[in-house]
Amino acid sequence: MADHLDAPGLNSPATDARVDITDHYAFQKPGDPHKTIMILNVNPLAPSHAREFRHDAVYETLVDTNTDAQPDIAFRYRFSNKVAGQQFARVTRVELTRALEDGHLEGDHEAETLVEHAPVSFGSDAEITHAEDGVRFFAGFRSDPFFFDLLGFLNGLKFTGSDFFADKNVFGIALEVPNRLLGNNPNVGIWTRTLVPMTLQPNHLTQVKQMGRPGINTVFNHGNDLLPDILTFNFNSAAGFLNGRRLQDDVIDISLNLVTNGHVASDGVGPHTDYLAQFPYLGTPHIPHV
Amino acid sequence: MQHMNRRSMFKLAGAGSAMVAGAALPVVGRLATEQANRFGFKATLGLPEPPLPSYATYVVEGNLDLDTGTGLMTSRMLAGHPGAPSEIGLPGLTRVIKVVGVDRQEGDKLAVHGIVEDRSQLQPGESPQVELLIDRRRGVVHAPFADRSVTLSIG
Repeated sequence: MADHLDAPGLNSPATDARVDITDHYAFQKPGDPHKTIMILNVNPLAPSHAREFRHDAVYETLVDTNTDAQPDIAFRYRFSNKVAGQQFARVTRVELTRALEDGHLEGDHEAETLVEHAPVSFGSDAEITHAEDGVRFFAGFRSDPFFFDLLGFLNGLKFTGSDFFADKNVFGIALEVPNRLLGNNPNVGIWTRTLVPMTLQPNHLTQVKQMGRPGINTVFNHGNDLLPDILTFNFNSAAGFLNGRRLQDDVIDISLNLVTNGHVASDGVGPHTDYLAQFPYLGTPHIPHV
Repeated sequence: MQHMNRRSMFKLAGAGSAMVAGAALPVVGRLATEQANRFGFKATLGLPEPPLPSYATYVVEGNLDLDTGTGLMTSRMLAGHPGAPSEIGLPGLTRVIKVVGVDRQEGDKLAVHGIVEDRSQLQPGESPQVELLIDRRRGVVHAPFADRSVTLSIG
């Protein structure tokens, strides 16, 4: 699975679905090789556990531009309090010069603002914010694009082709950027994380969730750091997973093949049919409004 | 009390407690008999089972009246490993089961027959009839999951 409801032995991060990353995606914009789409989904089973983004959290997409497994660029998403059914987002981009350190958001005062006061969508219509340089942004309630026979997995890989996520929703964050905002080297590594204020030091942030490759934390990396959890992506290529990840990429089948040495080839579940052909690509939610 | 030291007071308190307990014995005995005809349990199993990492916790719990063969049970799937289950139930996997019969079997086992009255809880093709076998001596419950029986530990 992706990282819905988190890995074995772990509780939902900070027991807060709002910062629980379910999936993230990075792919070349269909029809425009000069742009990249990055999507970060949180809040599994929304709106069962939460109906908003967390206002004091920082949602982050990190980009490694020189293949040293350290982030060089950060895209940061922050949200206002939800008031009278409205919430707004701000997106910044930071070029990082030092390694990440818990408690601090490195380079935050030199951040470049990409998007300001973007409305969060809580209904069926996706409100898209257009910014300079062809940047587009969306945040809000959407259909969960992930597909997987969860029951078959729980039943010891006895798959029946039943897609547990077919009618589930998430809160999605989608950003469309010109490739140059990802640096000069087309071979990048991308991962996402969420940070929340420390309990005893609320002015400091601590990471509560990180995700790179789908399934790594949940299935293959439960408790041990066996692999660097980074999604590799060549933004000049339109190929999908393992080059980045598109919504329709069957990461479960690929992972099953790898981990079972070909003995289990598929969970029998294919991509959803509700993906949009255009930004933000995430389908209409299964209930009209939250 | 004025000349009584603390040790004496404890002795007296102890004797008093014994007297109270003795007086209450018939009542306690009757309750114990009634309790013997009731059985409450909570059993769990991590799924998927090893060698795969357990991603969720299957929980079956309930209370049975062994005299009347009635009771109520629930089965549900919680996100998280059995050592640290969350309070997040995976949707569509909770069942409320009305107990319609309990058969005592050899070896302190209970065969429990139940029914899911609310059919909207069922997956397509899933039977509303539920059969459980509780092995009280071994502390396990054999319960259906998907197309097979799994063994949960009472704890």
